[in-house]
Amino acid sequence: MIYRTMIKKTLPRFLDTVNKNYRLIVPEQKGKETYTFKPYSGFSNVATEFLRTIIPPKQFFLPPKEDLFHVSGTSDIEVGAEEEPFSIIFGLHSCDLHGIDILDKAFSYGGKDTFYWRRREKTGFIGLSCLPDKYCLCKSMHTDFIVDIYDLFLYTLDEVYMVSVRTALGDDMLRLCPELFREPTGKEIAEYKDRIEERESMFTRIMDITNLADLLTLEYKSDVWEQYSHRCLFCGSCVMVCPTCQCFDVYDSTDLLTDITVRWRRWDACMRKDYALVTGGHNFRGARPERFRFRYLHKEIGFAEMHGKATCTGCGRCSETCPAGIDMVEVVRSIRE
Amino acid sequence: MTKAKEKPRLGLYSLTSCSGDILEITNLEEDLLKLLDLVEVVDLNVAMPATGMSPDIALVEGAVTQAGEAGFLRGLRKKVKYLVAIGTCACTGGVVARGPKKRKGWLRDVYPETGEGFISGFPRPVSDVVPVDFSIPGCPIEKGYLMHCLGYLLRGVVPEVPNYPLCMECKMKGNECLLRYRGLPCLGPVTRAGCGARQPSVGRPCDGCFGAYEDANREALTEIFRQIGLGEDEIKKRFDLFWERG
Ligand code: SF4
Ligand code: SF4
Ligand code: SF4
Ligand code: SF4
Repeated sequence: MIYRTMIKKTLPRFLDTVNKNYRLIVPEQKGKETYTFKPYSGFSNVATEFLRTIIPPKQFFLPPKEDLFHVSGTSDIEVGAEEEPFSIIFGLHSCDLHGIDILDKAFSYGGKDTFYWRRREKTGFIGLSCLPDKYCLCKSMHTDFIVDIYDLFLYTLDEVYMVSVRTALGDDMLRLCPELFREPTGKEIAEYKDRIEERESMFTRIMDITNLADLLTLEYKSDVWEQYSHRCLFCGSCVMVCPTCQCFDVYDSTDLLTDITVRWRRWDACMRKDYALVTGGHNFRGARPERFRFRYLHKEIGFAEMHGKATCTGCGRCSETCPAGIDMVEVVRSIRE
Repeated sequence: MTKAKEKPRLGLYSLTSCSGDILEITNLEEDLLKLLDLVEVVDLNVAMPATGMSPDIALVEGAVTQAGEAGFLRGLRKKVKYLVAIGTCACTGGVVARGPKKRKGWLRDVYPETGEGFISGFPRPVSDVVPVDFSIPGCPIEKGYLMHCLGYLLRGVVPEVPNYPLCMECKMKGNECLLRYRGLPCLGPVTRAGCGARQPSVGRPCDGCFGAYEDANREALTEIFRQIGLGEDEIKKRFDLFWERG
């Protein structure tokens, strides 16, 4: 890894140049408090001080609904998705990069998922540092910094960005406008250290995850699940916005007018009543408390047993988005008490 | 596809309603012409005289309200392979089935001259009168959803429909949640998906015209509506508009 600094005022020039060479995706403000990823349309629309987009970057590798393959008339099977250009996503915070790492593992388990990887392999990442708000839980989940996955990472200092260059692709991007980058000075390194310390002290929300997997298992029959299931709408929003939720449903449909039959895959959610319904009519998790509980079990235990880490990156989206105000920290606290 | 002489026959019937669903079908524009290549429309009771041919598939909009409509449906049921309720009025009774059951004197108030000879009962969904093979809700129906369902029905297969609440569809579209961020009384969490979140996508809360999602937690949403400042009456009105039979 090498480190460079770039004067903050030159970021527009850098992104303009990246955009000329790749398909650049950036965060933009959507509502008063919300953000969303959009194709780059000029620097004035780019949000640099934001925390979370409504939908996480998973949308680029696992779209909400995708054509896996289609058959038309008597033709052979054609794999969906048009050729997409190489994309760079700008503005990913540490939690979202961890989220991508988790999805990479999930979609490689037992063989690579072609549909996920055909897009994932053609995407690069420019990370961006951030300062936590009241929903951020990355420090508790140990995802508050990252050393892999990204190609470039920009740490915001007063006048400059400290740029971490991790990959050859990152280096390629630097070489698009080499005049913007230089060796960091001693003063900049000192400022960088101060900033890290400052950021650490800004985390106001802590979730104690010590032995959490054990506790969730031991409290499998706790009343807590029942209590929360009265408040939960089972609307699935928390799952849709989660950077690591990866469940999908597969179904076929024929377009009446074109006679093309498509095999679709579409996001699914374990909160949904029919999610665990199987042929013969048995539902493994028909009751609401069981479904409310399962999301926590899968986040903290299920994936961890296979890959050695929990699938919550602490991004805070679920707590911020939940219309019922259900907050993971509160749920975990209830289980601990 | 099917050869010309074997075209499946489609009948479109309007009971008591605003005809908004049949209108949506005519609004298919170019797609309508393509649809007409695939099916033969043998009945369209709002616009053409009956051909006397029996349809294979009958799409019925509107609530059963006026004298003769129930009898008509029973006759139709015997002739067709699929009887499909389209639009919320046909599926649940719709807006016209809200409000008090006793409507004495209403006809005369609304139609002072002609009200006398007009016989109209409390609006009922089509399924109250005859078995329905499939329901396509919406006020009005969503064109894409209708075509999706017809794609299955014309092949003799029961359509795949999204069996989840509207919020999931809304989030798949990347919308900002109106309930959470703007305190608007959205019925998305308790309403069946399928419309493509057409209201929330333009900043209007869902009114629930697709009807209740089977696992809807009405109590929890009622509590949230209270927290965003709605009175008990307003809450009842929100749920009553479409969401449950009055
Ligand atoms: S977003 Fe909230 S209300 Fe909706 S399913 Fe998740 S926890 Fe339940
Ligand atoms: S099982 Fe539930 S919590 Fe786990 S990835 Fe799927 S939707 Fe998310
Ligand atoms: S569970 Fe919630 S906080 Fe954790 S990664 Fe998913 S959305 Fe973010
Ligand atoms: S705007 Fe309405 S439909 Fe969309 S997520 Fe919020 S509550 Fe659900």
